[in-house]
Amino acid sequence: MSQMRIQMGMSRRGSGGAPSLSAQVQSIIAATNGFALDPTDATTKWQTNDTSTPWTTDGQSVGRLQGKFGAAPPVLVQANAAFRPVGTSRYLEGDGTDDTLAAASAIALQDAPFGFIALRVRGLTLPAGRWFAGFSANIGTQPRMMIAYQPGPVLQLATRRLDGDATHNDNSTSGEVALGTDYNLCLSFDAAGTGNVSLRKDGVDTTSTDFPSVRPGAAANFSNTASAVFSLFTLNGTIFANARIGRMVVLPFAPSAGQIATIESYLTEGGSLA
Amino acid sequence: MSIAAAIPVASITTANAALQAAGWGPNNFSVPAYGNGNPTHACLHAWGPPAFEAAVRALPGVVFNDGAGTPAARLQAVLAAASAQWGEGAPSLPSSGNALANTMYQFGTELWWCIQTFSRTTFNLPPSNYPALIRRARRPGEILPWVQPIDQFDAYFTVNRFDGQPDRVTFGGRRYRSAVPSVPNVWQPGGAEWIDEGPA
Repeated sequence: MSQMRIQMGMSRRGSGGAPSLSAQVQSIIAATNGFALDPTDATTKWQTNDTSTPWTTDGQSVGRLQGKFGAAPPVLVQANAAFRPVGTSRYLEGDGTDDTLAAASAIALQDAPFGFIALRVRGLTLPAGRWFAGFSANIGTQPRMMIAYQPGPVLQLATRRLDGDATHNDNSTSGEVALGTDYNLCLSFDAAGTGNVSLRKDGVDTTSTDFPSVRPGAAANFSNTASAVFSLFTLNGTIFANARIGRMVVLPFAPSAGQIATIESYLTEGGSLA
Repeated sequence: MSIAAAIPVASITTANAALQAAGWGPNNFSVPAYGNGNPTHACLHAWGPPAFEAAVRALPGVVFNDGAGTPAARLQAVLAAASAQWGEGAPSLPSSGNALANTMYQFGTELWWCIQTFSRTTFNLPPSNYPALIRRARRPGEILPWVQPIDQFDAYFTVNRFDGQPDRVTFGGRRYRSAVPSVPNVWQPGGAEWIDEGPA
């Protein structure tokens, strides 16, 4: 009987009401190499790096985070007990000492002409020069597409090709960001068009810079990313961010304005990072 | 619950092996802390679980803090008790006033160990101009251009005390690893004291 009621309820929502934000984001990502990370979904978290010990309670560390949606959502893991961030029902927190989760293989942006990363983040006791999240060419080398908190303080979106090109940084206005404040950030990297790198904060486009030299010519900027690592709280495994990360969405294509608005609402729906 | 802990470099291998054997993964003690410009301790911070914290507390020679406070503050307290300094938590090298002896500073992304107190108001060029006052510290595993060692503050080692690996440098567009047994390597790459590992 109860199963029947559930099915009827699902049917009513499907036929009459608007789909949930989660369903809308799932639809945006569907059949692509994009994915979402959702710390508010307890079923995607485990205390261990395998699936032997589910995460159940605020304050438990997270050794495994299963991505959602898309064709092949990655699993972010951490084998070392000391390196696991702490989980709550709304976010993951890195200790700024040694915590990180990383995808063993991250192909989301491979051969994609466009990279888009949206995340909800709050910096805590960060010194400048700390990386929140993104793709690096490899742990210990260079950013491919990452977001950092840098001196100023500014938010810095760093992008880089893998063919020896320099890092191209796009910084927000100095003083525009503060510790202890939640931000919805959207990072875009148009690797095939204008070479544009742009940053959007809390629904407002804050900075946008064209780097013509990052355009690929014959080589796709996001090609050769077989060794790329998607990681949280660090770029290089040496310097770590003491920060909280809520929901995240990664897309290998340029979303429409409406899709960005939906994604931003999805981030906000994840709740405060306080 | 969480724990911040530090262990002397001489105990890193056995401590990490003990934790790994107990199923907590390899190299949990991985963050270098510095006592004289070179790493003297390895440290960690963990949010639990309790069984892991108990395993850390049981390690011989470990210094730990499982009280209250931010992870960074507690790690700093642990390292102060161990007379060591956390490189990534070090203050920025001041642009005026005094830089203090026996203190690690960050200069951009670099770590610098102050050998003797000096005035940054007077000596205000980049720290590489004052090797008698302040010396760049190397993070374990960091591969930097070779510089002529002057003393114990910047000598190279074939067996790095932190990770047991040989120090590596770049020189003349190539990468080398130290091959001198037993003594600090103060020779320029190109001779038998260094092994050529190919293009940098």
